[in-house]
Amino acid sequence: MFVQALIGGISQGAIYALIALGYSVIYSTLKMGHFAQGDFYMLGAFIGLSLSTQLGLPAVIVFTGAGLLTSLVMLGLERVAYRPMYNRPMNALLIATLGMQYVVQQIAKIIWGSDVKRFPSMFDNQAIHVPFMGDSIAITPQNLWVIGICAALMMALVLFMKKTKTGIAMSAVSMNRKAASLMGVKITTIITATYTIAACLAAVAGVLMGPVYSVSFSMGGSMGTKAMTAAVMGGFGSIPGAMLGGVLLGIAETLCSLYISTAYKDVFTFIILLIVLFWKPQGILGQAKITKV
Amino acid sequence: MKKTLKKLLAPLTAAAVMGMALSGCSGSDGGNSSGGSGGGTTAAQAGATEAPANTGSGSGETSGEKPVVKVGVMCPMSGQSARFGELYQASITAAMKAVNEDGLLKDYTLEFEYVDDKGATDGAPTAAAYVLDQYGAHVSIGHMLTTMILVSGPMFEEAQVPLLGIVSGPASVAQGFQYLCIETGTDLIQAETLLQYLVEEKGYKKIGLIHINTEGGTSAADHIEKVLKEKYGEELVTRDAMTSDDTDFTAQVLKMKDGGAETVIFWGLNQSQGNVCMKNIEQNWGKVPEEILFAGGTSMAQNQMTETWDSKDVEGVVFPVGYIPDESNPAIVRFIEDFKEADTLNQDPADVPARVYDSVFHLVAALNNLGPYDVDAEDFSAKLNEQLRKTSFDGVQGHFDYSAFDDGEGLGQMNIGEWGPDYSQRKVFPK
Repeated sequence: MFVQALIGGISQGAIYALIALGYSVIYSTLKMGHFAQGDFYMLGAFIGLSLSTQLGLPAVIVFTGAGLLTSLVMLGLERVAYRPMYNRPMNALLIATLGMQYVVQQIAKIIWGSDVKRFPSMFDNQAIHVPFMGDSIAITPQNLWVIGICAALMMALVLFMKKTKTGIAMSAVSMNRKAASLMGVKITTIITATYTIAACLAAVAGVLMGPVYSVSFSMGGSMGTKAMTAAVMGGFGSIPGAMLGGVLLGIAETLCSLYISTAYKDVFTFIILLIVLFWKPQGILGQAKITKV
Repeated sequence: MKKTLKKLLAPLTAAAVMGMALSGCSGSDGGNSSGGSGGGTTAAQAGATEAPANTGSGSGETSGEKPVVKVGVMCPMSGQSARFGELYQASITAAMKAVNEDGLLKDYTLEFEYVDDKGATDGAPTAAAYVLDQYGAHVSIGHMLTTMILVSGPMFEEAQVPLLGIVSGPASVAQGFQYLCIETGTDLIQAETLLQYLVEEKGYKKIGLIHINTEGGTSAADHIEKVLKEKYGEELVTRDAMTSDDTDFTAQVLKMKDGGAETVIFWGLNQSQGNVCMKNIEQNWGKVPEEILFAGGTSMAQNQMTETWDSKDVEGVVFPVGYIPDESNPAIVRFIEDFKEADTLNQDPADVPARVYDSVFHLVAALNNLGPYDVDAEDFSAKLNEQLRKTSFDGVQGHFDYSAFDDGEGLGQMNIGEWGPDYSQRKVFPK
């Protein structure tokens, strides 16, 4: 029962991790949060739904298309709502991301309506039963795809940040924006790239979850909150930290539901968060800031 | 010049505001209402009153031969829930067609005024105020949500005007309103009927329960636990609460499996969550419904299931419901035909239209029992209420007997339905 619950928790946690990666990418570059990240997860799910059901495209194209189209929407909204705020106090941009939540929700509501929509499954749901210690554990292709895609995206992101020019530029901007600008890095382009990557990650998570949970315009709110919790737990700004935080959160929720009570699941996970922050205020894999006096 | 203009501006503005206020305060006649955001938008002419001989204007006047009983219908006519307003109208039209064809209403004529309550709690008091104060209704039908009844109920109590509530939340009857009748079975009756089916009919002893953590869900779960223990001498294998945000039920399913549960009751509001739970059961436990029966609350009966569940997944899911299509029942067949004819989208009726339909027959039965009475009398509504609270009649949801309860309930037993192939539904209990 423990191992079975663990698999479920890891699968659920992988989704949190994917959205949390977006938070961490944005924070690591821009040193601020993005309240609308959960709603781009929702938008990605809707776009994926349309590509899958109305155009009948295969899964690979649905994922790619949803990621690209959601990124395009983010590009447009970033240009209109965020870019004018770059030279203003950071709070102004933060408030803009808060407002963006409602903008994205209303866009989805206008285009797709307010009813819950069923997203046909793209993967086989037939569980594979693997013998384990005298019993068997059930793993579905859905679980495997979720964990696999999330792991692959995380590795791709780490490689991108370390090996590509844009990724290195993003790291430079996060260290010292002025210095990076003086070295020829186009700050506006880097910021746009950061938001686009975050939107793409959230969209993929949306397409993964859509067939599991159906799609509605309100599905992003709670998922965004949980992913932010995961990002904080793992270390806000740390990409491996976001992945770890997401998985830990998923496991903690499932094990608490199994051994304590479903009613206290959220209480339990927040207690864990508090303990982590007391022990390591920067998160499990976050880097402590050293301020020289 | 500028000074003169400035001097004139203030009195002109004041006059304009006064003029707008006075025009906005004009009372409604029988057809048009313009008072506030809850004001009725369609007149008695709108469909539902084609049958009565006189629908016209004027409060409480005798219209032709029979006195007119004014019925305020509070339903959503704008916003997301506007479709429900159309369902209300179609149901009332269908009901009045049957009433008039069979000559069921002997001493009165009914006039219906539709008032937009926006399908939300904040719209309820405005709609109720219009119905009571401006329209002067003798009786009212309405509201979609229990919270709306809780808000407007006291207003009807104070006005001593009966309200026929189209809701199933037990909280509405728990308030002790004397002027409220419920036009379906409450969640507690639904839960009892479901247990009766699972334990007595199907022979299940080990039941696992997952319920939404709202007040309604928790009270239904408490009731299930209590009835299972007191009536059947059994205990729930597991009982878990869920939130509306939960997206995985692996842990709950594993607990039920470990406890040896034979059937699962999923008492929630969100049909998608039910689908996730069912899939978690199939992944971690066994086939539904062949190995584990999946039962839900009345939310599992709704047409939204066809939008969130695959047709293969939904087959075999059982649910308590008031109304279920039944070709062997001529009253239901007639209801379906008349409703489809009246509905703008020609759809089959579901649970909510059935409740509205039955409410009209409830009213008709009560008026017949009251007999001829002066509709202008101060105590007409009170007298009507007395009859409403003790009338019995056969509706499309089943047999109503309000004298068997003292809290405004009338339907003592629900039906148990089952989803079949291609999103069809059939009644499985009582046979």
